Amino acid sequence: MLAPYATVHNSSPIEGTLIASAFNSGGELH
Amino acid sequence: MPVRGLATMIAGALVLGLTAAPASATTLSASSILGEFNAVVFNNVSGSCCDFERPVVIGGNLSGGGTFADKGAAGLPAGYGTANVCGAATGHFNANGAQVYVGGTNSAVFSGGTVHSGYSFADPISAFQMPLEADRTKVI
Repeated sequence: MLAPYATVHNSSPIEGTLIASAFNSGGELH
Repeated sequence: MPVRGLATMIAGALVLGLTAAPASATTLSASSILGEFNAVVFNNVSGSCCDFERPVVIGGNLSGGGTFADKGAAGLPAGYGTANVCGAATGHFNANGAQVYVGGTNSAVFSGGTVHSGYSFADPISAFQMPLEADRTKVI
């Protein structure tokens, strides 16, 4: 997930690589 | 555009990215960043469920709780561990034998990990952003 200017929030797992400005984790990152 | 053509274009952009010279002490390319790290977050990471399966780089602060799985660290550039935090760290994490590098003050607990606080990273966080930005403009 390429979101270099975004704040990302998840509530379920993300499969793959995350590129973000900020990350508020509510789920796993695989 | 056919999927194959798009894939060729992206692959070409990544190859071009390998030849770019990022202003960093290590050789960070878009393909290595995307292939070796589970997450690159330029600012803060927070939340009570920060579970990462592979190495991460955090440009800001880390807070909350979660787990860092000690996987994939062997292929990282020198000077990086499973968890790399440029700012400060607070909270409670399961580090599972991982190497944890914290550039700022560490007041977090990384259970089972080896913590290196006050660490000076070889690259600024912008060294991770530049290769990705360069390839993004080539693809678009």
